[in-house]
Amino acid sequence: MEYLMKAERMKLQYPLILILLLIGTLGTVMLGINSLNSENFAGFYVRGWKTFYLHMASFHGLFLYPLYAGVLASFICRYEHINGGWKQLFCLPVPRSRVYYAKLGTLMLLLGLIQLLFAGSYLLAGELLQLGNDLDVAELITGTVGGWLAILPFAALQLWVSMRLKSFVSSLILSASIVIANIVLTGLHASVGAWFPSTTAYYAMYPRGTALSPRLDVIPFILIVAATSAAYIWAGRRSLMRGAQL
Amino acid sequence: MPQLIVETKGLTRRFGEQVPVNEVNLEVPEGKIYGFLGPNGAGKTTTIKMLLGLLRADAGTIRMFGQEMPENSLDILRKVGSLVENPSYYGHLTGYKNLKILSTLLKLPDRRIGEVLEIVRLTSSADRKVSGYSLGMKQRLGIAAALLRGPQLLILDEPTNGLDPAGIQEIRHLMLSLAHDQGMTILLSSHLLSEVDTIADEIGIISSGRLVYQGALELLERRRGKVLEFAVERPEEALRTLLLQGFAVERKGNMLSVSAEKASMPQAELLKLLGPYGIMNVREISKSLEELFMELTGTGVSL
Ligand SMILES: Nc1ncnc2c1ncn2[C@@H]1O[C@H](COP(=O)(O)OP(=O)(O)OP(=O)(O)O)[C@@H](O)[C@H]1O
Ligand SMILES: [Mg+2]
Repeated sequence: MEYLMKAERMKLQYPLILILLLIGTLGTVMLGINSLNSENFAGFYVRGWKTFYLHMASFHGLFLYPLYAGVLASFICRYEHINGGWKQLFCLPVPRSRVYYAKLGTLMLLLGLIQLLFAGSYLLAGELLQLGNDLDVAELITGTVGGWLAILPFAALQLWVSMRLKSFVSSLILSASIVIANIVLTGLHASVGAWFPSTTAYYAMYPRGTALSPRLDVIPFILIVAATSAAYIWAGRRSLMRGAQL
Repeated sequence: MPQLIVETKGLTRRFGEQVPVNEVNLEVPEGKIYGFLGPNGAGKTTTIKMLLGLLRADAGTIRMFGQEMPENSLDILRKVGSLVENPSYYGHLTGYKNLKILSTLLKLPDRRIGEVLEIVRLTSSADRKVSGYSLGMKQRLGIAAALLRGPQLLILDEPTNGLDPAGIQEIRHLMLSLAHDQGMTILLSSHLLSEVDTIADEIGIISSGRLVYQGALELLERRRGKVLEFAVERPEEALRTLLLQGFAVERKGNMLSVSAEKASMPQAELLKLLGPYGIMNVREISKSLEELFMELTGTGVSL
């Protein structure tokens, strides 16, 4: 399995991915700072670490993170689609299910890297802004790790879609439009909204107990994430086993 | 009787109404070069894809190295190097990196990469991105990728696609040395008989999904017919006589061409029959293998 993951990493287009990640991280920080200083929010929230986290996490969880999942899933399938990569992979003495898990593993690894960048940029920017002493490290860790775990169903769904769609552009448009629907979907109670896998990272990352926190029961939420993950992993793996890519 | 490396029985694949592979019984003996021939759309690629497990067969069985395919695909694919239709590659990576990915997946030492690059003569371009390679260079890279694992069976679908004459010659030499020096079995498809008749030991000809000939190349050569051409003074009467005797004759002016399916032609008898009509000239013409191929595949004689 590790040699498969290693081969996947060799194929990545690092310069492109690096630029994407840096732009995204920078964008989240800028938006966080902007909201921190904005008149609209200043009345509700005190300026501080917690408020800054709330602003950054909501943008990241709602839009950017699911969008990354879609874009990166398209990336790791694109170079297989364009010049017969699938065909070559399928002629190797490697079980196709392992090819699938290597792709999903690589995708989750990249999404984990994004969470590290998120946490790092939050700490760095907050330090530079001198936000005071209400930094809640536990909340930051729960949020980033929880968000990472909660993106799994969406990552699996996007990987499935990207494996099926040969066209890079259409899979990008699809993920973008799903993510836009998040504005409405995340307004729902989590026990309903979480069935749409694009919402779960937001539910997991947004701090509990604030005025704007999503309504969420933890146990059902975890169960829904597990169930949808299993369903999309099953579907994606099956698609590869059947060779729908050829 | 050498062992069969590839053996299919009643192999069939349908696409809707169409049956691109129809009850094919392929037999590829060990250590031989097997030329798999057929015109465009005959079903060569479809057959090869089934051998490699890229397509499911609708009926029939495949045995490779004595094992059932696709049930034992991992065991079998370990011993098979292949290049199907167009070569697969990652354009954003160098030729070396492309092979490095494969060798990682196959758990092979890096030394192997240098060796196969040398064999296909890509060493000097190894550090260039493959997207900048010419068609022939990509084809060479594909062959290098197929050779990487040191396969016992090499399956190449139209390997000389896009190669220049020198490249084609090189690939031929390569295959001869792989088969004869290393004992590799090679299944190679082509739509040109002339492309394989200098190197193949065995020939399989597929036409509209059916295997119309399979066997040694010499047997095929023996099957090609001959034509005797007579120039006679009174062709009308000569023609009538020969037709009455049951010969297949065509007349052009005062030329009569008599063709026979078998190589043995009752020449003496013909000379005796035609003697009275004033024989001016006799010529023997062999049909080319290419013409025989066209007869077998029903692709006509248009060029
Ligand atoms: N995926 C598919 N769906 C429908 N028909 C197909 C498919 N693949 C192949 N065919 C049909 O099967 C027939 C055989 O195709 P195949 O590619 O095996 O021919 P070939 O002998 O390799 O020809 P060529 O010399 O042109 O490569 C063709 O008529 C083709 O149209
Ligand atoms: Mg073909």
